[in-house]
Amino acid sequence: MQLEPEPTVTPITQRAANRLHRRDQHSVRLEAVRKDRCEASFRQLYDYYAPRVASFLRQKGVEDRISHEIMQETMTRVWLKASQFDARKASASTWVFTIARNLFVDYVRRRKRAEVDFNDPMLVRDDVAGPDVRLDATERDDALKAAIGKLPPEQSEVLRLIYLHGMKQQAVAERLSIPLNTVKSRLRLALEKLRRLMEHA
Amino acid sequence: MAQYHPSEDLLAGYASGAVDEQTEALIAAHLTFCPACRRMVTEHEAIAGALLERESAPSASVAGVAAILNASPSRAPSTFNEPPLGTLSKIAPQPLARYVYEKTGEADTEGLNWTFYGPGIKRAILVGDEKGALVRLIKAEPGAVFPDHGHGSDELTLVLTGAYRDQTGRYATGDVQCAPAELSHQPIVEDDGVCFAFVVSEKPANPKNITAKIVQRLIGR
Ligand SMILES: [Zn+2]
Repeated sequence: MQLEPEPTVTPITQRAANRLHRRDQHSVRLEAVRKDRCEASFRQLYDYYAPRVASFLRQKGVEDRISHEIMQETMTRVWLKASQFDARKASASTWVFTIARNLFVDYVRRRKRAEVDFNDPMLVRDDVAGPDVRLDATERDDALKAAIGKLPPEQSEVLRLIYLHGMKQQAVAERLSIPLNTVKSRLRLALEKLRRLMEHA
Repeated sequence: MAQYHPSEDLLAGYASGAVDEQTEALIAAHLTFCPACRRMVTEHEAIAGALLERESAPSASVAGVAAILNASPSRAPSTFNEPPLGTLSKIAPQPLARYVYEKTGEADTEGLNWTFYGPGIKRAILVGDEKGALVRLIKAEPGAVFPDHGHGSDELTLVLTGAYRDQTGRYATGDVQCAPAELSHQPIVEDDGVCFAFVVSEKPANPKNITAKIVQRLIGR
């Protein structure tokens, strides 16, 4: 059995320089929409995300006509609300996902999704990770994407069913015809790997 | 800072938009109190976002993007109304106060339909009925002792104000007790304040042995 080589430590200045190049292209385009209302960048974002969002919604059982409508509204918000995009908090994909998810929930419930109100007087502030010390989210999410790509297919399939289809663990077990405990262990193994990676990104 | 948190499963379900509306309201209220769980949800959202990129997808329509870029910038106002701020928002975080308002039309705790649940304890059923309260607010006076009860199914309790204890621990503002169906307990409210709690269950909590106990007391056993 061969041992993995120790990861080499990159000098901090080098890392800062790499950071700019490693940023994912979708977040860069979304930045261009945010700052300059760049239509060309938005077209590229639309080409990339519109079909993925529609596919995400269809998997949740939304009929075609309505999933198209929610997708179109999602992309409209990406265009109109790009000023709210903050690359320190989320990458483009995560941001688009949350918009689509919220519209989906609003649609099925006919009520607004319950979310934290950051102006709530009861809000307990996060004193651990202020924006200054937090890792750039796009950097973290790049590492995350790479890590998901390396997971064994049976683990990424479980992730997909849980996070995109929104299935409960029991439903995943039935869908894949495997015991519930197998679902749990695949999920746990996958999340452990991804967590380690997010912490060290 | 909250000591008891929703399970990872529930937080992932919340992030993916898959939990029911009452659980969503409970989790959003817990998140208001709990920065640690907010970070967890952010991680789950990042995982979902990364998975979204991996979806295979046909090409996008040209008409769709043109429709957005050519639309006039004025937008229709949101169809969701913000609830008026009443005394409910003094005890409950916004997402929960809004949920209660939507279910009852009440923005004040005093206006809710409180019914007797035990000495010093009242409850307002938001979803369900006397036989099967699925979602309810509980208001318990300092020192109140709950009837010993089992749970027909898993039950989530979010403490809003005050604190109570049972054999599993002490639950204070922001804490979520996940009571499994098999738990039988008798929570005792602490002396220093009124305890408001929001409870979500799939089936009714069946007050176990209440009659049996009364009988026992009457016959002095
Ligand atoms: Zn928490």
